[in-house]
Amino acid sequence: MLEWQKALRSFFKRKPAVLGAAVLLALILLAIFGPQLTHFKPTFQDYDHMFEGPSRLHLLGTDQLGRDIWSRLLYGSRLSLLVAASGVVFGAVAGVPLGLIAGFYGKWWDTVIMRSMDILLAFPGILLAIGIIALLGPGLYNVVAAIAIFGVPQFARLVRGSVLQLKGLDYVQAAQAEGSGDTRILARHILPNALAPIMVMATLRTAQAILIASSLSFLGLGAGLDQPEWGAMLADGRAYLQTYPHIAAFPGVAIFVTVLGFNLLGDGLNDMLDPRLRRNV
Amino acid sequence: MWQYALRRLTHLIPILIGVSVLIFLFVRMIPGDPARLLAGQGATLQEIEMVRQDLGLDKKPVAQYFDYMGKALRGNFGKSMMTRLPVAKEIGLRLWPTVQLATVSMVVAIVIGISAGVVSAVKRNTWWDYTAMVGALIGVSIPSFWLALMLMYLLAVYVRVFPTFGYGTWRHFVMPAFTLGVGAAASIARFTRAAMLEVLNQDYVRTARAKGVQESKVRLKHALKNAMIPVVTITGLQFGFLLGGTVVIESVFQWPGLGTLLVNAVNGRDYPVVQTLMMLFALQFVLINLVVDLLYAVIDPRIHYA
Amino acid sequence: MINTWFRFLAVAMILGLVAGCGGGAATPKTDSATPAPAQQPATPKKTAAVAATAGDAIVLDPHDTNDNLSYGIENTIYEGLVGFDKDMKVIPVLAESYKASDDAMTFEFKLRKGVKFHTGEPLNAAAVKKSFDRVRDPNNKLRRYSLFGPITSIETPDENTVVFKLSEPFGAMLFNFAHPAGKVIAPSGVDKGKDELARNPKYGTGPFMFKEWVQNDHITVTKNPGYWNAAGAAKVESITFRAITEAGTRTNGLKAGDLDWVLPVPPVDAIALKTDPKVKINSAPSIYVFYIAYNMTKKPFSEPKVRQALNLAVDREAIRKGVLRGFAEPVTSYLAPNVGFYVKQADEIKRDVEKAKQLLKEAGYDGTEFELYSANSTERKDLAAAIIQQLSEAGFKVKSVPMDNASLSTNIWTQDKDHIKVQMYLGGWSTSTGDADWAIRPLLYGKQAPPVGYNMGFYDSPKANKLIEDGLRTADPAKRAPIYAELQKVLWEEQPWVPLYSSQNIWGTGANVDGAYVQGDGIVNYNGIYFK
Repeated sequence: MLEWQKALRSFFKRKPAVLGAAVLLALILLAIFGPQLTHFKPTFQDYDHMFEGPSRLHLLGTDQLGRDIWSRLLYGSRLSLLVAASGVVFGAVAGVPLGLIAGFYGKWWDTVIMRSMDILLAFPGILLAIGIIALLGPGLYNVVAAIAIFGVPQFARLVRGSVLQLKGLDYVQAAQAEGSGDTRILARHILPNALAPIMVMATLRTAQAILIASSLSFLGLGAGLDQPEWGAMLADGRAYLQTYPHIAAFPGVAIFVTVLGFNLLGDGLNDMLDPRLRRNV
Repeated sequence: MWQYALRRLTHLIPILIGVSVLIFLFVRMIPGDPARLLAGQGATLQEIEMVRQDLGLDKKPVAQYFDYMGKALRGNFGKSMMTRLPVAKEIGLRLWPTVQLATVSMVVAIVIGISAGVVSAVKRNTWWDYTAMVGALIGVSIPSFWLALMLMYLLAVYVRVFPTFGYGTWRHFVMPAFTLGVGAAASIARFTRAAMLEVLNQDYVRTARAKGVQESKVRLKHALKNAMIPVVTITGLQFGFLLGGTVVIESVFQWPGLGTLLVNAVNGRDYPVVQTLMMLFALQFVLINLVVDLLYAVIDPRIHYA
Repeated sequence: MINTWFRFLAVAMILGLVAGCGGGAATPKTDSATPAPAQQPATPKKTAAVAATAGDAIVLDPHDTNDNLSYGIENTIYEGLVGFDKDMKVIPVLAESYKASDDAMTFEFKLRKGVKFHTGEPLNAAAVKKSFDRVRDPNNKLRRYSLFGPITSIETPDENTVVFKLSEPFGAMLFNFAHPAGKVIAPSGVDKGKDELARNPKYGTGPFMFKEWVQNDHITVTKNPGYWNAAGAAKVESITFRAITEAGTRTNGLKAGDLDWVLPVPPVDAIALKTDPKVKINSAPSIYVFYIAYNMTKKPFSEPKVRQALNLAVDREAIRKGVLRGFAEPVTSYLAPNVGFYVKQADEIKRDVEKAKQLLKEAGYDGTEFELYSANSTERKDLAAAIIQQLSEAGFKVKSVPMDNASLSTNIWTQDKDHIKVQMYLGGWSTSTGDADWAIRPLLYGKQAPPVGYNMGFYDSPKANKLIEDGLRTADPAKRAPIYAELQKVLWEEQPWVPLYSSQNIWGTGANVDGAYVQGDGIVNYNGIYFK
């Protein structure tokens, strides 16, 4: 059996992971085919039907402008999944190598990279968002970029911590003594063993990314009006939390389901890829 | 190690200078004119110019920068453009309440997070595990304003156990600290669980178990300690973010914190306040991350810094 | 090593306790929000009122203030020569009487006798002169300078008479004196200077005296026992203003009885609270007019038919009843009904989508998309969303550009007509002096185009310009009335805006609280607050 077949088989043995993958697949399908599942436009306002609870006509009710929440969730899923995924992917793609280099090479590498990360951590999100919007103009993709940048230092710090620990392990030092190349050591010995926290971080970031989008939206720096987005919907619902709780509740549930999917899948992938956990199933 | 710490502290000087230049350029690059905002809607050009002179913004930017830094070195961070209070006082009034709330919230987060993480790792794939982890996921996906306003409705309006808002006695801490703590606890729990699982599966732990050493001892002695690195990292980050203040919780519970100050200052383009806050935040993160790095070495003696 | 975990916990807990306990000693305690014990007997009538404001005051120096929230608090402490009554009419306060010369260049005030500042100093002509000399001196760089900049000299022929001379006729000057910035500050306060007056407003004559200001938390004023006007004396011992930014918290505080007076209350909460017997919800028309301005020098808005189509495409009734939940008044002139010299021009403009479409066709609008700039608060974004849907139904293509206020003001007010990027702007305006002139001139006078003023549409009508100038040549209301009537007619015909609606102020009180109200300009008059 080939390596990937083994991996696949081992993946399907893990029920939570399969469930997670199914949830995410369903969300992706909804994002693609969503518009077919509703006859309301997400921006269509109906002042005769504001704040309505769920009904046969409006499956999840309507919001403060009489817009159909179900269709807003469907249309918004594209953007929100994008926010979640890009928040994770960009953060990981930039943050993980930075953390690896800083941790592995230490010295000046560590100083320069990690102190830059400290500065980035200290940089207030609202300021970064205003700056990006001022430079690139308002629009969701620029907000996505801002959210993605927030993730970089977190990944970098996390990975560096693990690398520092792994560097001292016997087999890494042995590999070094044997004269293995740095890239090889990082790729074969260090990265796989540092995967667990990276995976947890990645899955948690999905939720954080959408919630950051929500707070930016509450501060007025979110997506435009023409594009529904879960974070913005949640922020809109804040004003009606005690009068019409369903406006915030449904996007809240959508976020939870997405995060659940990412986490279950992430745990499964981690079990699968981690050399120590794999043999133990 | 102390030498290392000292060297790291000396890095503070270039970092703070770098931050000050960066933020100085950044706040002046983004649109918005403090003089115009302060003069208010309907102000005449003449009034706007008067305010600009009053704020010293008519001088050349380079001169403004050296003016600020020159005074800052002597501990004078200027006056807030909006309130006319010294920036040091403006920040000082909110720093302590912010530190208090961040600390209490962090304690809540650590207690809940580590317990939940350890339990769910040790009782992996049982209902304990599922409950804790679904709880953690709810914790990370729940918006803090939602939890805050719900708690307030429940514990301050419906049953009048805690004060609705304000700052002062220990009762004022309960709702905000719990709201913030739950969010951070969720992350900590997830990292603790992942790290514990990994370590529980390592050879020496399994050997120890096989040798019949009392199980709980094994778990605590070996597993927890070695699992701590990512948990400590993430706790440090969370603490750093909390120390920057949390706009949502501060505005819901009327807590006099740094988050609101920052947002107001950014919105009003109150340059001296933004500039000083940013340097404070950089200082906080550098110090916290230094402590975190030193903790690494304490937790795992194989980690040493050259 | 077995107890690593417990040691860790213990350290964490101790840290928490230290932080928790230390705080009490180091910082002022505020217990006003502490819940009352459960079985407390019915208390005697309350004498300390707690009012929530949407944020902290900025500074409490009336000459250096420009936000309504701070003005409201200053109004409890300071008084002017004249002021506004409930309907924004000018009434004498520290002056017993006043008169203006026919050429609107000399204003004379007779001062009330026997009035003392909170500092014990007497109110006399010299004190009034000193206070106004402060605000009108450009070297003091006070933010309300321009209201009193036209004054060239202040004379004090006797102890109780003050005469102001202006450089040029300014018919609206009386309203500038009534403006909340026209307060009289005691001479000792003027001597102390800007920083002191900003934080320690102890130098007024008003019914309340300043007690303390805990930054970002609360401001307290207490009853002035020596107040000159028995009829207007404080009916409570103190008022505490609490800065609460979160609307939900204000609503909860009102329900819980921690707050006696709350402004603003969001419309939806107001409707929900109307059924709560412990709470009373009030609303009253403001003098704010909300509008869309468009750059009239550029296509497509240089074309009158396009402007007419815009005006017909908007469904104002749906906006008032739907988006604003009924808390708004129809616009029937470019002035709000409560502003002096208001003349109704017509009923609210009715929507006519078909006619709008036809006009657009005739005008040859090619469907180019344009941007509508607005502030980025949730309410404003909702309003923009509603308007955009209505415009699109008539064939317009509009995109919303919400921005934070600082960025917005730079985009809108600082570029001249050849450089401005903004095509359409959605905003609101109220005349801070309560006079018709300031409601129209900054926004619609040809010489007030950005970057000088706020005429973002670059409206430059010879007819309107002349009427605006004429309105300032006299202070005689009988002469000004026909001028402003004509001006309103011209504006209504030439349509430099899409006027939308006039907003309402909504505030909530405990069921047993009365006496305070919100003026049309959004400033609160707390002075009469009492418990029933």
